[in-house]
Amino acid sequence: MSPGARVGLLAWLLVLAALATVAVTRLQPSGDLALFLPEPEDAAGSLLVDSLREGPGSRMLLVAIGGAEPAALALAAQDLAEAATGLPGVAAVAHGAAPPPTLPEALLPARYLLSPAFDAQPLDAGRLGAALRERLQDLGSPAARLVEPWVARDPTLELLGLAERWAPAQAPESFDEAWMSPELSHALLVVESGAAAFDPQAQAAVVAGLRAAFEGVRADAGGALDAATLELSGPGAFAVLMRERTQGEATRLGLLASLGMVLLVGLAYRRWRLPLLAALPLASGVLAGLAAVALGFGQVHGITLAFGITLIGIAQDYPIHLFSHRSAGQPATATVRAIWPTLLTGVLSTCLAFGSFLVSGVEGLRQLAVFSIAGLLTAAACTRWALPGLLGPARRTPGGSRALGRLQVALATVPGAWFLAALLGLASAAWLWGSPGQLFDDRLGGLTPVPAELVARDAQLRRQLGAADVRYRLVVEGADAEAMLQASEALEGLLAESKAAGEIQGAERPSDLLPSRARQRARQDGLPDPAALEAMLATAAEGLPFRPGVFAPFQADVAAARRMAPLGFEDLDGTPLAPRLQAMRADANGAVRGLVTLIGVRDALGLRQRLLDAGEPAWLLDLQATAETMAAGWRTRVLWALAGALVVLAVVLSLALRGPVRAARVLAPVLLAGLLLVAALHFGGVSLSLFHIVAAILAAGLGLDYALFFERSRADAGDARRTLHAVLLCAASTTLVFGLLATSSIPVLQAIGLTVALGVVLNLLLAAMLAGRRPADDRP
Amino acid sequence: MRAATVALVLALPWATASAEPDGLPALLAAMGAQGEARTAFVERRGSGLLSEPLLLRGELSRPDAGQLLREVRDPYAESSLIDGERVVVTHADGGERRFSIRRAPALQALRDGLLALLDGDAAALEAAFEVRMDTVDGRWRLQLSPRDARVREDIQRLDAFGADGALRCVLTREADGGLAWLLVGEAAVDAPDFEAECRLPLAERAAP
Repeated sequence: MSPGARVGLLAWLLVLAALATVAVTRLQPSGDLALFLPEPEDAAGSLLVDSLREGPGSRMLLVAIGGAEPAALALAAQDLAEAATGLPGVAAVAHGAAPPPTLPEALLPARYLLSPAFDAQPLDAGRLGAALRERLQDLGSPAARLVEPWVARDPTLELLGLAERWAPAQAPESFDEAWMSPELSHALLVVESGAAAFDPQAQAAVVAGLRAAFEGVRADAGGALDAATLELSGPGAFAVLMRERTQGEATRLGLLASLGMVLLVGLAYRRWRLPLLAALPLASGVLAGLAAVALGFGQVHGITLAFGITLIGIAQDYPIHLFSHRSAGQPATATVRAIWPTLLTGVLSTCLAFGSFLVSGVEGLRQLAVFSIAGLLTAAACTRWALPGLLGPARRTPGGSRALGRLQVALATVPGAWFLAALLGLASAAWLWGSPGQLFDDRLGGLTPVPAELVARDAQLRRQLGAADVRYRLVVEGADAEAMLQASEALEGLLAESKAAGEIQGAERPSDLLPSRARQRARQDGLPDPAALEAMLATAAEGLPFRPGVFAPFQADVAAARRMAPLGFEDLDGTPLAPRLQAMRADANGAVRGLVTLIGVRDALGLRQRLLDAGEPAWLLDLQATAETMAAGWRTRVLWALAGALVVLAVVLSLALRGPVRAARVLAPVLLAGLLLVAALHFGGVSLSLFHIVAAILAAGLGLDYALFFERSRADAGDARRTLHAVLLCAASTTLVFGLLATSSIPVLQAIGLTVALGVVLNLLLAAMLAGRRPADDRP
Repeated sequence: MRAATVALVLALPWATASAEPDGLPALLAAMGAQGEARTAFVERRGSGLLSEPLLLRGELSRPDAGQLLREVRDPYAESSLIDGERVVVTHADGGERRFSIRRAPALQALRDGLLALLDGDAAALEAAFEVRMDTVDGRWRLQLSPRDARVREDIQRLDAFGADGALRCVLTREADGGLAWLLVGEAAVDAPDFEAECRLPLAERAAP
C-alpha cells in the first residue's frame, strides 16, 4: 500500500467514524406503522393514523393463561393481575374481579355526577332503605371485610357501579371472578400499557415484567400450574416478538451470508484480502445512509432500515465490477477509470428509480429514498476513489478463463433471442391482464411482519374478551367538548336499537366515561339538599341497627357533589380514566371529534343505514377500508412516479450512451425481467405488497447494472468475458444472500428474498442474452 | 364482651399448664365419630357501624366431602356454599355472587377449621393451623393460628371450644381486634350465651 493510499484510507475511515457517530447519536428507531401511511387528507385518514398510534386497541396486551384446571387458572389470573398492577409501564390490569374504585379522593363525590344510577328514578327513602338493608346483609356475610370500609361513605355502592360500568362493556365468560375462554381452557386478562404500542423498548419492558411475574405466580402455586403456559398477544407483544425473532434470524442469516460472500469472492479471485475490501463500499454506504436519515428525519422506522440495507445491497456489486474487470499488470486506477462511466450511469439510474419514493407522500418511503440514494452515492465514491489505492497491481486476469468465454459466446448468441423475449413479454402481459387474482395487496396487515396464525389468535382472544372492534368506530363531532359529549349522549337510543337488532354487541361512548356538563348539572339538581337527605336517611334506617350519624361521610359527599363544578376532560387528567378518554377523542380543524368504541360488529351495513336514517348523528369509520384506500393511493403514486422515472431514465441513458438504440438495448431486458417477475409472482398466487414492490425495484436496479456492463463490453470478446465474470459473481452473491433470506420463517423476509433472488436470475439471463448480444447477431 | 375477653386472658396461663400433647388425635377422633352432617348455628358479629351486633341464625352442613354450606335463615335468607376454592353466595331473590375463597381469608380459615373439626381430621387441621390444645375438666379449647400468610393478614386466630367430643363455639379473632362468635350444635339455642360457651370454665380454674 502506498503512503498516499494509507492517508486516503485513514481519511476515509475517519469519515466513516464521523458518520457512525451522527447515526448513533441522532437516530431514534421507531416501529410506528403510521410512517408507512401517506399524509392523511381527510377525517377518516387522520383518525386512522391516530388510532394506529394511540388507539385503545394498540395499547392493549391480551394475556391468556392455559394448561391447568379452570379453578387453578382463575387463581393464577388473580395472582398475576395482582403482581402486574405494580409493574412499571402497566397502566391498568383487568381480569374479571370487580375492579376497585378508580377515582382519586378529591373526585370521589363526583360519582353522583358521573353515575346514571339516579337518572330514571331519583334517590328517595325507599331506595336508600333497600340499599341499607343490603349493606346490613353484607356486614353479616363472609365478605363483610371487603364492604365494611365503604358502607358509611357509599351506602348505595355507587363507586362499585361506576367501576363496573367502566369495565369492558361486553363481559366475557367468567369463572371464579376471572375471565375465561368459552371452553374454560384459558384464563384471560387485559393489560393496558402506559406506552404506545410501537415504542419497542417500553413494550419489551412490560412483556418481560409480565413473564417474570407469571413465573413467580407459577412458583407460588405449588404444582397446580406446572404445565401452565402464558400467552401474550396484541400489537405491543407482536412488536417484541418480532424484534426477538428478527434479531435471531438476522444474526443467523447475516452470519451465513457473510461467510458465503467471503468464500465466493475469495474463491473467485483467489485473493483472501479482497472479500474484506469488497465490504468497504457497502459499509460506507450503510453508514452514510443512516447519517443522512438521522440528519433529515431524526427517527428511522425499522422497516426503512431493513429495506434500506436491502436496497443498497446493489452497492455490493460495485467493487466486484472493479475487481473482475482488472487484467494482469494493469493498475487499479486505470481499471476504475475505464468502467467508471458505466458504473456511474448505473448508480445515477438507480438513484433516479429510488427517487420516485420521494414523491410517494409517505414518510417511511421518503426516508427509504434518502437512505438508499445517500448510501449508493457514497458506495460508488468509495469504489471510485478509495478502493483503487488499496489494491495492489493485479497478478492475474480474473475473467480470463476459456470456459467463461465459451459461456459468454453461448449466451450472447442465442438464436432468436429478441423474438423469444418479445414472445415471453407478450405472454406475461396477457397473463397479468387476463387472470382474475388480485394483483396488489393493500391491507395494512400486509405490512405487518407478524405471522398470520398469531394475528388470527389475537382476533380470537379479542372476541372472547369482548374487546373493542379493531376495524370500526363511530365518530361524533361537536364545536367543543361539551357539544361532542352531548352528541355522544344522544346516540344512546340508536345504539340500543342497533344492539337489539344484532348489528353490534355493544358500544362504549365517550359520554359513558364523562357525561356532558349539562347532564351532570341535571344530576346535581336531582340530589337531595342536606335537610332532605337527613330526613331521607332517618326514614330509611328506621328499624335497622346502624349507629346514629354513621352515614355522615355519605351526607358530606352528596353535599359536595351538589356544590362542585361539573367535571370536564381536564379534571380527569392523571386519573386511570384519562388514557381511555384521550383515546376516545381526536380533535382536528377546530372541531372536537369523539370516537365511540364498538364491540362485536356483525352488520356494519345495517348500522351505517341506521345512522343515515337517523340523519347522521354520527358516521361509521371503517379503519380497514380507509387504510386500504390510503395504501392504494400511495401505491398508485409510486407507480406513476416510477413510470416518470423510467421516461427520464430513457432520456438520460440515450444521452449517456449516445443514442436511443443502445438505451433500448439496456432498458429492454430490465423491463422484461420486471414484467416476468411480476407475472411469475402473480402466477404463484402472491399479491404484491409494499415489500414486493421494493424488492422488485431492487432487482431492477441490479439488472440495470448488469445490462449496462454487458452492453458496454459486447463488441470486445475479452472485455465481455471479464464482464460476465463480474456479473456472474454479482448475481451469485446476491442470489446467495437473498436465497438465504427466502428461507426465513418471517413471511416478509421470505417474500423479499424470493422476489429479489428470482428477479436477479431473470435479469442476469435476459441482460446477458439481450444487452450483451454480439453486434454481428444483433437484429433488434 | 369485654368481660369475656378479660376472662379469657386470665384463663390463659392456667390452661397452658394443663395442656395434653396426646389429647388432640383422641379428641378429633371422638369428634369425627359423632360428627353430624348438619348443625344449627348462631353467629354474633360486631361492627363499628352498628349500635348492636348482628345476630344471625341458620344451619351449617356438609353436602359433600370438601363442601361447607352456610344457610342464614334469620334475619334474612342467604346461603353460602364453599366448594373447594369457590364460594357461591345466593340471596333470597336468587341473585348470585361467586368469588374465590382467597378474597375472603376469614372464610377460608373458618372453612379449614370447621371442616377439619367436624370430620375429625387432625392432619388437615395441623396442615392449616398451628394447634395448641388446653383442657379443663372435660372442656377443651383449641387455639388455631393460621399458617397461610395471606390468611394471617386478616385472621389472627380461631379459638374452638367444646366439651367432650362436641364442638360448641368458634371464636374468630380478626387481625384488627374484631371478634366474631359462632355457636354450633347444642350451644346454638334460642337464648345463646356467647360468653359462657366461648371460654374455658372459670370455676375450675382454681382446682388443681
